[in-house]
Amino acid sequence: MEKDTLTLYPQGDLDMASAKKVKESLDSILCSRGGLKQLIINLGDVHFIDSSGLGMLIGCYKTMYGRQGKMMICDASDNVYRVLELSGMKKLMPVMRQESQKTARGESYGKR
Amino acid sequence: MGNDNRVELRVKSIGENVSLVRMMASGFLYPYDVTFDVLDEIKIALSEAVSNCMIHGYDNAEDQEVVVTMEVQNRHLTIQVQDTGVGIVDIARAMEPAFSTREEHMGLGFVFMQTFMDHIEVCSEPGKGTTVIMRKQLPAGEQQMSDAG
Ligand SMILES: Nc1ncnc2c1ncn2[C@@H]1O[C@H](COP(=O)(O)OP(=O)(O)OP(=O)(O)O)[C@@H](O)[C@H]1O
Ligand SMILES: [Mg+2]
Repeated sequence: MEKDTLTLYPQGDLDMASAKKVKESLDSILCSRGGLKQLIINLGDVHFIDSSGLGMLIGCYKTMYGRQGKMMICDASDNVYRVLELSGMKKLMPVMRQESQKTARGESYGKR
Repeated sequence: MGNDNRVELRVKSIGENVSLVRMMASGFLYPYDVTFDVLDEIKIALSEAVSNCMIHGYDNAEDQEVVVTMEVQNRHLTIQVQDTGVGIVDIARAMEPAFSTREEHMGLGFVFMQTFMDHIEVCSEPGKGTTVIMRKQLPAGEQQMSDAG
């Protein structure tokens, strides 16, 4: 059934303040859709993530796991992917990186 | 050196100020021509240190203050993040990967600070507060490299 899968597109930085907001809206979505079997988080528009953002993602994973559902992360940029990798998240769920980078790695930031 | 600089920021302990501190760091580092990767590493380490002060040091109380000092000397960056909160009883234990005193946290903050900075030092006294000092040598920017070659 189509309704069994939901894809979410958080935007901006996922840190302490924003992760809290995303978590609140996610919790109410997960609560109202008890039959949800697969949650896909598309991180294509997330350019920064720290441990608070990761904690929020793990929280979602636990909720999905608790109801025998699945979760996956896709479209992670190189910087975000590196943090997801370091966190060991890949052992829990599929994590897919962005196919083409929006900003080239190693590109210089700042004054010329 | 003409390019050396130092700033001190005092921010109220509200979550929104974590991203403000990151933006300040981006502005502060702009003259040093670092790569986006290096900038990102510094922003993650800073974000971890500042959110730890707010979450753990102040138990999410929003009427406290976090002091962030950033300094560059000869392309050597030093960041100091300080709170006057509860402090840490066992620093070595707190710095172990996956150690957390909070259920919903994963204990990754210090792992990221250690991974993304060259050196980290933690001073803390229960009841007095915590100071984290992180250092990183900024790699030579493209400008310096082309000047040299
Ligand atoms: N400024 C601080 N004041 C008091 N205790 C702290 C402070 N910073 C860290 N700690 C203690 O050290 C532990 C480990 O910190 P760390 O950042 O590695 O993990 P965490 O914050 O618990 O989880 P995460 O960073 O993954 O959300 C914390 O759980 C807390 O007990
Ligand atoms: Mg932390």
